[in-house]
Parts: sequence; C-alpha cells; structure tokens
Amino acid sequence: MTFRPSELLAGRRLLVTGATGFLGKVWLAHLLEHLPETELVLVVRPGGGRAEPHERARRRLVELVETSPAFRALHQRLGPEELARRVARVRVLAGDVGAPRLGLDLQAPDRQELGALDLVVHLAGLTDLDPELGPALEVNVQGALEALELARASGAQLVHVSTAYVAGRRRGRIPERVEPDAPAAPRGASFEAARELTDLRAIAASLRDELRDPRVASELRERAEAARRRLGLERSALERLERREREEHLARRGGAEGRARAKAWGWPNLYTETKALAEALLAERRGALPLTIARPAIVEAAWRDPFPGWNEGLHTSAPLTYALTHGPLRALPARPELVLDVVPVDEVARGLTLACAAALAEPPRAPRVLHLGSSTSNPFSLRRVIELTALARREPRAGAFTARELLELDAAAGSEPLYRAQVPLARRLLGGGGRALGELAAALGRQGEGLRARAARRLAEVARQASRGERGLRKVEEAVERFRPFVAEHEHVFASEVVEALSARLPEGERQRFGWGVPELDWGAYWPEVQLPGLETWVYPRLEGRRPPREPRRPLPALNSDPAPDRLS
Amino acid sequence: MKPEGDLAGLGAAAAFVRVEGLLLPGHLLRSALYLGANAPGLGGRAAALGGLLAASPALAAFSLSDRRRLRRLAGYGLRGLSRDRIDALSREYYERFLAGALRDEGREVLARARGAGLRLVLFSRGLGRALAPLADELSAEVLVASEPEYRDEVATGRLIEPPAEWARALAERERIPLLASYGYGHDLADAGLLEAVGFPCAVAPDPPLRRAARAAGWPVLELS
Repeated sequence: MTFRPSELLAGRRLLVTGATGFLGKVWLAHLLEHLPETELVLVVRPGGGRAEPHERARRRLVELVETSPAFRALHQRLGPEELARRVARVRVLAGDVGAPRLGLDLQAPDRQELGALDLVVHLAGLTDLDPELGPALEVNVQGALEALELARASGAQLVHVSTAYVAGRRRGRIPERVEPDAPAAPRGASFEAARELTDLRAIAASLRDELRDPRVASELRERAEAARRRLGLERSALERLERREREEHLARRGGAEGRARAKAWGWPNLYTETKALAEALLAERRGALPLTIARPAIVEAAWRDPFPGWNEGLHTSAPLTYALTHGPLRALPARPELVLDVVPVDEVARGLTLACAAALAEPPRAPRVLHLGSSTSNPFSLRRVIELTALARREPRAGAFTARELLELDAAAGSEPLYRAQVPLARRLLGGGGRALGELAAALGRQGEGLRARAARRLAEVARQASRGERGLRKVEEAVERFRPFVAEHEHVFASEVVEALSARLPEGERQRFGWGVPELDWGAYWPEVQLPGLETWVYPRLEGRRPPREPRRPLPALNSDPAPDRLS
Repeated sequence: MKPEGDLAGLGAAAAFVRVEGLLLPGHLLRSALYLGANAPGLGGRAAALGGLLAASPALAAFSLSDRRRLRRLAGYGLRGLSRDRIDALSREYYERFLAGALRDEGREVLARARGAGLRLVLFSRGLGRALAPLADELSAEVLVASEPEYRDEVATGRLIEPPAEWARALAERERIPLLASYGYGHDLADAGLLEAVGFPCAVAPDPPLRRAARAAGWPVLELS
C-alpha cells in the first residue's frame, strides 16, 4: 500500500514544541518547504520586549527565519515573498514547556484552534547530557506529560521525540518498543518510573533546601565576595554574583546527584534517564490516546538540507572528534568494533515527517516507536569514525618524505591502560615542564637582543604552548569522560525497521522529499566532506568560546511591517 | 611508434597505455613504503616497515622485476591498513609524488591519441587508488590496476593484479576493435597485450620485452 505524506499531512493541524532547537529548525524548514498545506501551531518561549507574549514569540520565530542558517536554503529556493507568505501562515503561541498544558490556555477566546489539533509533536527538551536535575525533570519529563495532556484535551495524537539512547546499558539489537524498566537495576532493587520521578523530585527539592543551610549560604556568599573583589566590581554587584553562585551550586550538585542516580539504574547520564522516564510515563498514562515515539540516535550535521555540514549540536560527537584532533593525545580509549550510531539532522527531519504521516494514516493502538539511526542499516564502526577523523586532519605536504614524519602520528583508538598511562605523562610534561620552562625564561631575562634573551623568549613561547596544551588536555579528559559510554561501553544497535518500511512504501515523487536515505549514506564521503568541515565551521568555535560565523539577515518583507494574518482564530 | 597519420579514423578503437614507462616512473614499492610509513600508530608503522625490510633480503634473491615478488613485497607495506587509509594516503601519494612527474613524451602521445578520437585505457601494476586522480586528469575511460585485498575493510597484505586476459575481456565488453587499437607496453608482462593490438609499441622496455620487440618487429620508443 502506498503512503503519501504530502496528502496525509495536507490540511492537518500540528502543534509543535521545540521548533527553535537544532532539529526543530531543520524540521520546520522541511515542513515549510515540502508541506505548505499543513497548518502549523508553534509553541515558542517568548523573546524579550514589552509586546504581549504571543507577539514576542512570533518575533522570535521571524528572527530565526531571517537569521538562522537553517533557513538559508529556503530563502533561496522559495524567494523572500513566498517564504514570508508561508511563515505568515504559521501560528505562534507563547508557551512554557514545563508549565501545565505547556502554558497554553485552552479556554481563551482566541485559542479555539487548540481544541482541533491533529497532532501534538513534542520536540522540546534539554539535550545537555548532564543537565541540572530540577530543570531536566521539569522539561524532559513533566514537559512530555504536559504535551500528553494537551493532546488529550485537544483530541490530538501525540508524537514524542525521545532518544535511542534510552536503551542505556542494554545490549544487542534494541527493539522498537517502550521498556518500562531500567536497563540494569541493581540486584534486589525494582524500578518503577513514577516512583523514580517522585524520588528524583525529592532529591531536587532537597538540593534547593540545601541553599538555605547557613553553612552553604555563607560559603556561597564568601565565594561571591571573592569573585567581586577579583573582578573589581562595586558592592551592588554582590547580589547578582551570589545568585550566580547559587545557580552554579545547584547545577554542580544536581548534575552529580542526577548522574550518579542514572548510572545506578544503567543509563549513561541524566539526560537519557529523564527521556526514558518520559517514555515510560507517557506509555503508562496515555489511556487510549495514540502515541508515537521517535528516537533519533546521535544527531549530526545536515547531509543535504538546509546545506551540507550545517550543525548546532554541541552535545553530539563534537567533543569526541575535537579531542581526537585538537588535543595533545593521540590514542583515546575506544573499542573499535563498537558502532557509533550517528544520523544527519535532515534525515531525522524526514523520519519525523514519516512518523507523523504514519500516525495520521494508521493511528497506533499500542505505542509506535521508530528508531531514527544508522546502526543496523548502515553501521558506522568506531574504528572507521576515528580513522576518517584522523585522516581528514592530515596536512597536505610537499617534497621528499622525512624521517620526522614517522613520529607524527594520527589519532587512533587506544586501550584504556594506554590512555591511563598517557594522561598523567602528558599532564606532567605540559604542566610541570611548561612551568619550569617559564621560570627558566624569567630567570634568563627576555629583554635585549643577546643570545640569552633570544633563548629566553623562545623558552617563554614554548612554555605558553605547553600551557595551551594543558588546557586542551583538560577538555579532552572531560570529553572522554562524557563520551566513554558511547565509545567504550555501549554494546548495542538500534533496530530501525519501522522507518525503513514506511520509506519503502513511498511512491517515487514522495521519496525524493520524504525518503529515508540513511541506508545509502556513504560514510567515507559524509564524514570527511560534510560532518568534519561542518564541525570546524559551526561547532568547534562554540567549544572554544568563540562565535560561529554570523548569517547575514535575510528580511522577510511582508512580516516586518505587517502583522501576521491570523487565519486560525 | 606508429606515425600520427595511422591513428586517424579509428573512432571506436583505444590506446592502451601502460602508466609505468610512458607516463610515470614505477612506483608500486615506493607507494607501499609511503603507506606503511603512515600507518596509524607507531606499532603499525613498525610492523609495516619491519615486514617490508625483513622480507626484502629474501625476495631480493629474485629480480625486483619479478612481478609476483614485487607484489608480495609491496603487500607488506599495506597489511593492516584500512580501506579508508589506503584511499586517503594513495591520493596523498599521488598529489605529493606523482602529479608533477608526468612525462612530456607521454602527454604528447596521449594528445595525439585523443586527437585521433581514440578511447584511453590506462593500465598499471601500481595501486589503482594512487592512479585514479591521474586517470581523472587525463580523462581516461578505463583504469586497470592492482588493488589490495581486504578482509573486514582491512588490507590483508595481498595485492590483486588484473587477470592475464584483462585486455581481451575489456575489449569484448566495451566493443573495442583490438586490431585497430594501439598498445604501449613497458615490460614482458605487457607482451600479450602488444601481440593483441594492431599497433604495438614498447616504451623504454626492460631487456626481455626489448628482445621480444626486436623479434616481433615492434617499434621501440626510448624516453629522454
């Protein structure tokens, strides 16, 4: 039976959360281009200003369409007039993912359209692997439950975007179904999602209470005062600095508590635990409401749309590849035979469209789960990830081969003992050695033009390089710790039969726009020619505290002067 | 070499050109050394180069022009390298060492062949991956060369040469009239091809091919 998303989604009304995130923007651009007949209602956190919240939310969307690279291709393909017309048809509502029913008032006189939705598509979430506990529960778990209630109240189905890594430490081929249990509960402990949510909330509350402990409060005040003196600020800045210290304390303590708790149940981090909790609770509480869960794997640079290489994913493979190519180490602990399940963001967008169309064509009686990944249809081994990353960093050379080149090593997968041996040695060389050279340079004196001064200046330069290397080493260590589960521990692949079967049913014209192309993706071309240059341009600058290139503003003519027509109300 | 006039009017015919000799110096062993010297880790480099060095005295007892021995020796440099690494380093080798080494005599012959509307078939005992950019640059229709054998995308150390009758099989598949085609060989291994084409030429031949050329009356092109 053929399957036509363009027909299934035409005239349907979709409420979407998280459209301003990395995947959200790419999916929104995809919908605006290929499904102009679909009615979109976006729930967006309002930007700043004095206008009423819905207007501020709309301005935020327009700002995104005018300035985000995600919409670059759309400006070129549709032209400003047509794009402006399509954006004008999008209804934007101010909302808050953690608030009841996402902060939307279904009874408000201009919100009747919320009573006639076809799908609530919930993309919003905190994607930091180690988020602060309180906000992670609020956004990733409570937000999903609020989306469910909104769907229920408006007669819609729910399409929830989760992650394939809810599998945690489960091994083998992970099936496309909701697992209500923890991946690896400790012996004698039983896991129950609702109870775990209650326990985690209690931990978050106790951490907030900790701030009222006189000892902790005094310590944070002292830190703020020390920071004020160090920065040379007025006394009036103290309150702001204290607030920041309190937030950092919560993030530090909450992150550590959450991570420990997640690991105890068999998830690699709090992010995956909260996404798994959301899935289990949605499945439990949905009643008869049709539920679809899309589980992307590691979402990476765009393969084709909006243009090859575009990426915003700070928490994906960027720290790993950065560590491989920019740090002082040349062997990282990784098991080469494991598969890193990466998937281009535009393929995930296509998969999400297929999931929505399938929900409308055949509302699922039991939760329908779709893995959007590559590990079974087109596995990309860590051996290959590391090899292609290392090869792409080789500098072009000219002239005869020299013996020195024999010692210039490319990055490679290494064993845990080798990594453990390398790190202290590198730290001692870069830290201790660098400081000793700096002191020697100071003792020699850098002024003047004599041999001694020239040697001192050279030593000082080497000491500076060592100091930079030491900072790089710290980043590498952090990245290794964060990604260790993905590169050395996870022994699983994700079944992806559902999305492949849906794609196989597409007629030719639809396949070009909505087809799932991951099985045909050539990693040997994508990784060095698309993913790595994309990271260099869009993501590594963020890792280094710099801004990625700014996109020139492409104004939308009709929208800037003329408020959007409110077709839906 | 056949005079230019003889090339005219053979639209469907081809020029079969051995890369080593007319276009470039021999490079199989050097490219294998380069690849082995750029294995991913020190251990890999030591294994590749050590294997190559350890094997060379035994194999040197035979002539290096012995293709089988040469191929085995080169294989030691590639053993354990991934397909991705061999592809990337082969391109690197071409850019660094081969791209600027194309012989002027070769360019002239190719230009004349092209002018006469001949299809261009390059063949080599070297690594096909290292020569792919050359084939692209010269707009060759076909490149026939050695390829490493892989198991699980890792080179076993065995190099696979084109089968002995590759030219006849190719001619049959591509409908190339061999009797109207030109062949430029470099060593005795190319004698079969030179016998098959209508216009054979030995280019800077090794002694056995020189003797065969003399016996068969094939023209011999000496390079400057």
